[in-house]
Amino acid sequence: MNNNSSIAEATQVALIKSTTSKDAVLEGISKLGGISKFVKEGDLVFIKINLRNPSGFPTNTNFDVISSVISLCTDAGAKEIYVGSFPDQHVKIKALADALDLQTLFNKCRAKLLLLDDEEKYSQEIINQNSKEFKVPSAILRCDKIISINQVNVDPVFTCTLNLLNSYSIISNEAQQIKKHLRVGKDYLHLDQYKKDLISNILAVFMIKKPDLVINDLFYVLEGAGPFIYKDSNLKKTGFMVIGTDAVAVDSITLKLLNIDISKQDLLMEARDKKIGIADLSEIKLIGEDIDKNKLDLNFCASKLEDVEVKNTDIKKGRLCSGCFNQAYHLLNLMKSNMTKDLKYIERQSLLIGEKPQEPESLENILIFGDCAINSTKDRTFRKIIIEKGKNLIEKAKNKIKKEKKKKSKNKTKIISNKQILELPGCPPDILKCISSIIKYYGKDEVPGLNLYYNLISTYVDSKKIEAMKK
Amino acid sequence: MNYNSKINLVESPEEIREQVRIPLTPIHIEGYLLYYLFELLYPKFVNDQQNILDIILSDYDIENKVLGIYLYKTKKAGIHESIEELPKDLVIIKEKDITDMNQLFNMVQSHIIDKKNVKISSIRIFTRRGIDLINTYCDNLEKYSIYEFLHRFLDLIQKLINKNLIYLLPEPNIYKFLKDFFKVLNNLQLSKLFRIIESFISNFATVLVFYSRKLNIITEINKRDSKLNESDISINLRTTKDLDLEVKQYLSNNSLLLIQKKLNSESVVSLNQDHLISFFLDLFDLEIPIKKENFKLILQKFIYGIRSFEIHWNLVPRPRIYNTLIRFLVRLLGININFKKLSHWTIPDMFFSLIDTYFGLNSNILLIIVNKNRIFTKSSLLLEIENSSLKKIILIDNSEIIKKKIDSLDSIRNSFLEKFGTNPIIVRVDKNLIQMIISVLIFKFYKIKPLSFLKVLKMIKKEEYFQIHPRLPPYQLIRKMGAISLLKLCLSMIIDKHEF
Repeated sequence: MNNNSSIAEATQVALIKSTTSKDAVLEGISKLGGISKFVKEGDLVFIKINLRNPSGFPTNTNFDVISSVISLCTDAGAKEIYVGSFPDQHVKIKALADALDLQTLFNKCRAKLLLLDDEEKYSQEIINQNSKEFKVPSAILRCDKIISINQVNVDPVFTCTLNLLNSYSIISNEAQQIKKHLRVGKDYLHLDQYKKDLISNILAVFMIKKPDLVINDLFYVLEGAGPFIYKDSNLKKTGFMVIGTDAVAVDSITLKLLNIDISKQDLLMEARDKKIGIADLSEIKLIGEDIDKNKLDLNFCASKLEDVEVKNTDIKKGRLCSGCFNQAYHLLNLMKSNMTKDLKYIERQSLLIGEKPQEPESLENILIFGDCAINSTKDRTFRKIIIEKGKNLIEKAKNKIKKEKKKKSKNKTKIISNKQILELPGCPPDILKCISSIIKYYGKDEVPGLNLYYNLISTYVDSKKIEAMKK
Repeated sequence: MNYNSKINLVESPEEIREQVRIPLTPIHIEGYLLYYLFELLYPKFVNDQQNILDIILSDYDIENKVLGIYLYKTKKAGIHESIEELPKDLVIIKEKDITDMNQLFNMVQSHIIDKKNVKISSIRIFTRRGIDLINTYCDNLEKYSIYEFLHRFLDLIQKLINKNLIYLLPEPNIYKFLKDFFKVLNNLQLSKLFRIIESFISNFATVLVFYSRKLNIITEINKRDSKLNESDISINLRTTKDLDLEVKQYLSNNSLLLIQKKLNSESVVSLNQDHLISFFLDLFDLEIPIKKENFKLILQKFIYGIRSFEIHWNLVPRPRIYNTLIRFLVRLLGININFKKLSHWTIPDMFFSLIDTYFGLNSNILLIIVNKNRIFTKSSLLLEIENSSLKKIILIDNSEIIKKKIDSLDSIRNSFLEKFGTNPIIVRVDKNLIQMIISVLIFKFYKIKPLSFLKVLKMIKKEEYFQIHPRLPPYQLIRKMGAISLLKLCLSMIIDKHEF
């Protein structure tokens, strides 16, 4: 933990509006006293960026902003400048860096991209925080200064991607996953224990190595659907940048700028309660633009899964936690973005999510998403279908020729299990596995769009994982 | 105008045989054909009401800029029959009036009603400099080759609109479209773009038949390479009457074969005039920068047009790819090529989804055209994309980013980064690949075979012909997959599965 900033300094936040993102970041840092206030000669600096997957802007941090900060650090006399982050699940940093050619790009700026998931090269230390153990790369822990540059996009669980979330990816994606931990006498779903555990972990990881300089880049914000680029995504140019030393304060100002009620933001409220930073706006000294005159009106992510509106797809929901909501949100958006053609062929599918979801309207193509939905629907009627037992067609034809009167025969029926059901297990389910299972279930020819998407992601996803899924 | 005035005096105007020159071009055609083209196109693209006023403005005067006023009374929109010079002090236009064009139009219109009792529907304002430019352009116009004419014509239009040397009031959509399009082109001359595109087109001799109920137009277009720096292009517009052809069904193969035989051309394409006009009207209706959703719609219409082979358009010789037996045999190999089932509703969606996801909603794409590892054009094109819309096309001098030969794209990217401060996505394409694609899909479409696609894909897979830097997932997929698997994967997206 580094507690070297005084409280008076920590509460200063710069709200800058400019014509270019480069100018905005330079002006913001200058208003806070210049880079030399944060980076001293000979410092080892780690710049924590968003590095989610090999997609275009704004999935990852804007390169123009990163290069500006690197150049400031170089000018301040930093000994070494490292850049890095852990990417999304199943994505290797090397594959991502190759796809975006990041290594040579950062080398050109005299910084080094850390392949943090290469444990042979970068050892990890186990840090005990809040009675939990986290494996953090030593390369990050060794650094004298941490600068966190966060691209703000809309997010289904936390409304928007805050800087506190950016800090969470200093640990691997596997370590970020929340394991279901039932507590006696507590309803996991009702209390949304998943989100509580996630928030607790995010704050614990944040406390391991607090950033010294925090930048929330809102110059362009992804709205509609995010934080990845989906069909409903739209890029809004706002021209704003929020910069400060206290991540909680910077996030609070960001939320206020976006007209979001901070008291409803569990993550920030928890951070405030744990005294991790300043969330109370009255205690923050704002420099630059007047926040009350500059409110941004964004189109946030759909708060209900039904609002994602995927063609020919009925969504039946039960009680669900934020984990399943988040994964289902991404799966539905992936379907909407990549299965335009497929969903015309499929004609009808139902997605059952959460504990005790409603009955599907059709018995065809039922996708049951998540362990809660699978376990709570084991005895449901849609799992079985009634068919009429083998009619003797030859006999029927003979009778017709002989013009014999129809004999009143008892309809023999048989109950068989509904084979048009696809279970997508997991708590919450893994999206890549879901896609692989959906392709297997429908067949490649029925889902050409999803198959193309799967082929594209297989170019950068860990090949061992792909092989395992094929098996 | 002389010809137009005779038209109303005769019963069948098409009988008047008189050669006239299309204004601002060196192309001579039958008078009646020109009359028909104006009657058809002017109301749809420029103004569909009667009476036009031309005003010539001084570039320097401030108090009254008017140098001349000409009134064209028209019975039909676009058909100029008479010209009347009005006293230049009839309307006074001051410098400040030009800032609000709508008000200016209303003011001039009410003046003309008051003083001449004529309601004008359109005003064309030319500045003196604009008139001088047009006059210079028209000097020796008839001596120019078609190639030279096209160059000069594109330059003229771009200058007139870009430098505000001409105004059309009320502004027709085509004028607005061009004005905004030239802003996107930034420092790029349209004629340069034409020269680049023209260099990719191999020799061809084709006949385009624009059919309609009223008049069918036969356009012969030939392109031959010449020893000079420019191509030898010829355009010949005629009616079926000129060819003494009695053709009733312009979609039938026999009719088109008859035209092909008569004109001894490589191929004949028949297109419906109304459908073409409707497409271009929709196109010019778009606001620039074109929003993604609007662009998708226009692409859908275009692809729908392509898939309507033998319904809305036809081509002889009939491409073998449409032969059912060949398609059946190819399908036995798992390759489903059916151009009549082009997935017009999926292709634009898929295209934009790939661009958005992997190139990003904001991106700078640097397009470098090479010829066997050597620079083919003096400049490269930088496409500036913001929120999935093309905002600007900037011409980048290759000498600023490329040293002598094409070295690694990495070094080009570094030079670009140093010079312009942004990180571009570089797309390097070989001239031969572009020529191949244009030839296969457009000019030699009648020769298209299932194997043509494999040839194109095999070329795309080779680094010498096509390269993207950084190696984004779509490019990695192209490199990783076999040509046949890639073809099958692409076809599953671009061709609809169901035959009926």
